[in-house]
Amino acid sequence: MATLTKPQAKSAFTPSLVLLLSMIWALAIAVYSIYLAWRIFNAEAFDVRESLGNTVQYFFGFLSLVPAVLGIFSALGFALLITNPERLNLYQRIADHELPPAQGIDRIPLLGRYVFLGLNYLGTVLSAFYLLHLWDVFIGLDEVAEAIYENRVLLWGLVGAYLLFWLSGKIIRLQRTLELIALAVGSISFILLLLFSGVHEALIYIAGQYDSLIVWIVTAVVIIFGIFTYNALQMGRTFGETPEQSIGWQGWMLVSPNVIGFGLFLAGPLLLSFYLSFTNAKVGQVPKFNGLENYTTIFSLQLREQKPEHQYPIEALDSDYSIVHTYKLGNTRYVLGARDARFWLSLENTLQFCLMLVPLATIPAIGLAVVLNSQLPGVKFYRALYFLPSVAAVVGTALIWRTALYSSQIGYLNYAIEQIINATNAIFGTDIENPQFGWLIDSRLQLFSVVLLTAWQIIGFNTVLFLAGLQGIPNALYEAASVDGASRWQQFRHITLPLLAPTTFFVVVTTIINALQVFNEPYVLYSREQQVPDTVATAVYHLYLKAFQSTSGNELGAASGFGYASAVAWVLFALIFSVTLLQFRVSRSGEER
Amino acid sequence: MQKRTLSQKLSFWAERGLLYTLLTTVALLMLFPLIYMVIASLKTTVDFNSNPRRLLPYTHVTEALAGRQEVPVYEFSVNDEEKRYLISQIDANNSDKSDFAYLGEVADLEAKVKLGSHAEQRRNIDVLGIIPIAYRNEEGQKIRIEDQTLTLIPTENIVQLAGNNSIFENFRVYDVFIDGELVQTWLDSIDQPVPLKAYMLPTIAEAGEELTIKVSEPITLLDARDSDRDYDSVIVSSPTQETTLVWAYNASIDVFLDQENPQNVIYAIESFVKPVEVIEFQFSNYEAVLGLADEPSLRMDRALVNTAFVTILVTIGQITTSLFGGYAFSRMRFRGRDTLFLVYLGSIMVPFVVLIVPIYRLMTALGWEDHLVSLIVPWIFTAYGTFLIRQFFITIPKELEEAALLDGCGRLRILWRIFIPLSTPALATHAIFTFLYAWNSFLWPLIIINTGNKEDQVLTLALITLGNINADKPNIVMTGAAVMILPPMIVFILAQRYFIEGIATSGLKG
Repeated sequence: MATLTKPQAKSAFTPSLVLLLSMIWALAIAVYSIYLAWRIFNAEAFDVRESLGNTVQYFFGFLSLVPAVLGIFSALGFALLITNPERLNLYQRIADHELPPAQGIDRIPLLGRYVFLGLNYLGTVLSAFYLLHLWDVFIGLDEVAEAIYENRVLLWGLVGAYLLFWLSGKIIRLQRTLELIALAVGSISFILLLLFSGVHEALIYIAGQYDSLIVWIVTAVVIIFGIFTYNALQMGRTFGETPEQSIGWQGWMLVSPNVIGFGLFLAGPLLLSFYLSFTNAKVGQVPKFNGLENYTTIFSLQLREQKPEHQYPIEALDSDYSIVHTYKLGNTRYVLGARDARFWLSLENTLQFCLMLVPLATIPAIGLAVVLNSQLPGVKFYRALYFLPSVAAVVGTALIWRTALYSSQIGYLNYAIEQIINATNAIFGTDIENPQFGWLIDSRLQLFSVVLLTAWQIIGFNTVLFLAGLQGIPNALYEAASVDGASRWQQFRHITLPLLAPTTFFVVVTTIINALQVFNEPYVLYSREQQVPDTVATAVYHLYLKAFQSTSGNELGAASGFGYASAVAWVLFALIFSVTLLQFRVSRSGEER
Repeated sequence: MQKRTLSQKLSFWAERGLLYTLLTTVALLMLFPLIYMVIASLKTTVDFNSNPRRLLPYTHVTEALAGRQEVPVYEFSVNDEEKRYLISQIDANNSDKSDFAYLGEVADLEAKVKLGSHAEQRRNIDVLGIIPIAYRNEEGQKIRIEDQTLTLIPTENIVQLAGNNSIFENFRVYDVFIDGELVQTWLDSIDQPVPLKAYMLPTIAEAGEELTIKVSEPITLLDARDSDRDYDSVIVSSPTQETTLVWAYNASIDVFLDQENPQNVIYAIESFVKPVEVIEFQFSNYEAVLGLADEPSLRMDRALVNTAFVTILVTIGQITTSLFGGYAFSRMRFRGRDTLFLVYLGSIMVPFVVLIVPIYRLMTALGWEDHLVSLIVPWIFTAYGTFLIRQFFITIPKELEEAALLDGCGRLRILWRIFIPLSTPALATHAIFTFLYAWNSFLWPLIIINTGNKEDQVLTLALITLGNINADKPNIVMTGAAVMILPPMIVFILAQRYFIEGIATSGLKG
């Protein structure tokens, strides 16, 4: 079938010429990468902006040798084909299903082609990326935003178009007309936006970049890479590729954006972070490998007894330790010290935060979910209402809570408490005094205030998760129970709670994982102060200070900078990861049962 | 039978009513901060700080006497009749005002100060008397009575003064002797000079008796927190008795003019007088924040455009990459697919905390720090979204696709023509998640964008700055918060059907 329908592809080049060119190009890539590796190995300052140290330099040196090996390999594959034209013929017949595929195919040319394809594809992407960089497109996004801002009136056109579209879905009768109007309004304002925001200026600017040679070279390289990629894609028949194999590279092409992104913004950074955590990297300093020093600094804890000759507890500790806590057992006082005392204090805060947040964010959510889990009209509306706080930005809500609720003079929280107390006093004749809580000022309340805000934000989200869990509980169980005369509470206690356990576990774990990374809430609530108070400083906040604010006097005995912060991050990662693993274990064992 | 159905019906409706009441109450409590944000964003600053608290936005009515500037209107009850008065001066910084003081009895004040917060108690101090502590004499010189003995002779004249809650009290008018000399004095904040001598409670002296007021040593009082403060004291003596009074409260006395008859003047302290207010929504707050008014320190419009720009690009980017990835992972067979998928899935577990430092370094290496691109490009690749889309694509029957493949459709065409239209709910969920995530993101912009860089601010950063710089304008802060919070809320409300179901089925968060 396929042979009949598919006409023989006539190419301007004979296959062998294309193969020869490809081979030369593969060798060129190999030579250039060897040259690049040599340059990297001999470079004095590897990175112009901030050196990352010799290790990274060598890593990149070896990395750029990889394309050299691959290039030589694919060139070898091409060479094999060129020197043996009979193979070409054989492959074409396999591709046309005249011969079974398994016979007589050398793996080297076929693999070589894939390697060549991959190399050229990556080459196209990377050089195009570099070209865009040379064109200043990435930085130029600022200008685009600026231009949109200057012509922001036109944005209303887009908003109007969107609303019209939305409306057209509601009014069936006018759907067609409304859609047309919306399309017209949208496209006109978009075109005007493009016109006014200076597309032509941008093009002129890019053309202006071509006064330097490097831009020309990179453009040429992009084009050559592109041509060879396209060509390698079309060469399937030459190499006797079966449709299954063709699907293979198509699949890789489709996931390639994800893979590249994964490498650039996840795997690569993860490696870098791991490396940095073993160095003393700091701003304006070439990182030096310092082994486990960062980690030992973090984990340096000391429990000492305060002897009578020590006037202050701190004297019981070694000189570079500071106090985390003091304990009193009988008549002796013990001092717990650490080299990075603030890390331990912030970790303690974070754990306390988790402990308080989990019940506050799950128990009301279960209650709400149980109430919402009915077929009554309007329940979906309430479900959406309860979800609204989860949609709002923490920065906004924290500011609202700070000014409108937590303020001790004009805050509604204290106002409500005052009203309740007054009412109680009036009704029962009691004499309770108004406590006038200082929600954000009182050091005993500060952490709780942060928890309250966070719980308020995630209750709606947890409710939706619980609702999903509740919908999985068969109704027949409740019916049977009510026939047996079980009360509502008994039903809840003996049916709902046990059957909801997996969901509860999931919700609790998710809440914990998010709580371990809490940063925004304390930061925004205390953004008016110089620093977040010690009672609410969380682990991520500590990391933030160590990495980015290391000059602002948060030293307290321990190291700081990117290296140390990376080590802190990995310790946190380990903590979070163990919680995640626990969840995986439990949910898997649940499935097996 | 009939009766039973009725009681059943009753209990049915009672239960429903109870349920809805409960749901509504909880919803109101939960949404209170957001509702209050919207209301407060329409208030004036004065109204925001008003005591007692009130929800609706009130605005002080202003009116103008013929040919004059508009001034706030106040309400007094004169002879049990509500009357409107205009304040004669609205500029609080005007130094032309005279200083006045409240006087209280020592023991009385001491008791009150000890009870609790001083600020609270100040308001409730009973006015024993109000005397001017500064005069202007005929030559226009200011005379202060500190260190001087003031001699007052009560006259037959009585003046009405507004005390707390605009209730009038009668005060006797005195002739004033300073160091034995009768001084003609004026209050200088009045439009036309009205000779006001001085006034004291009539109980201290009868008409015609001579009164002396002498500034004496400061008296120290302890308040509830045991911190002490010195209060200036004054000894007032008449022929029959001598009382020590304390300067409890320093304030400026304002002059109020009758709207109908401007010659009719009332003296009172502005904060004690009931203002005439109407409910009015201050849309000008939004104008200020959105840059329509000329107030550069309040504007957030640039940040709004930047945020929208970044959010839309990130959303489009994430949708695109996860569509491709999801399609490949669900429908294409290629070597290493399952391993790759597992690794990719595992990367969801990597918390952002570990990536902060290295991505920051990557951005500085690329020269992207402090630019919008650093908020976009690193965030358009998403393992979570790819996973979500893949899970949805798996449920789409294979037959649809096979038919199209036989017809010679390309993969991208199949994706565009078949998969995208069929997966609207999943796409909507993913798009809204991304939208919210990008719109609300804070830690990353905080690290990568400089505070001083107004060009590349996003809303979260701009709002923090607004909240810190304009802490004295909480209503504007609320407006900023509304500008930040309302757009994603509208998006959510428009698409919440897909969204909530999406969370419920995927059970994961973004």
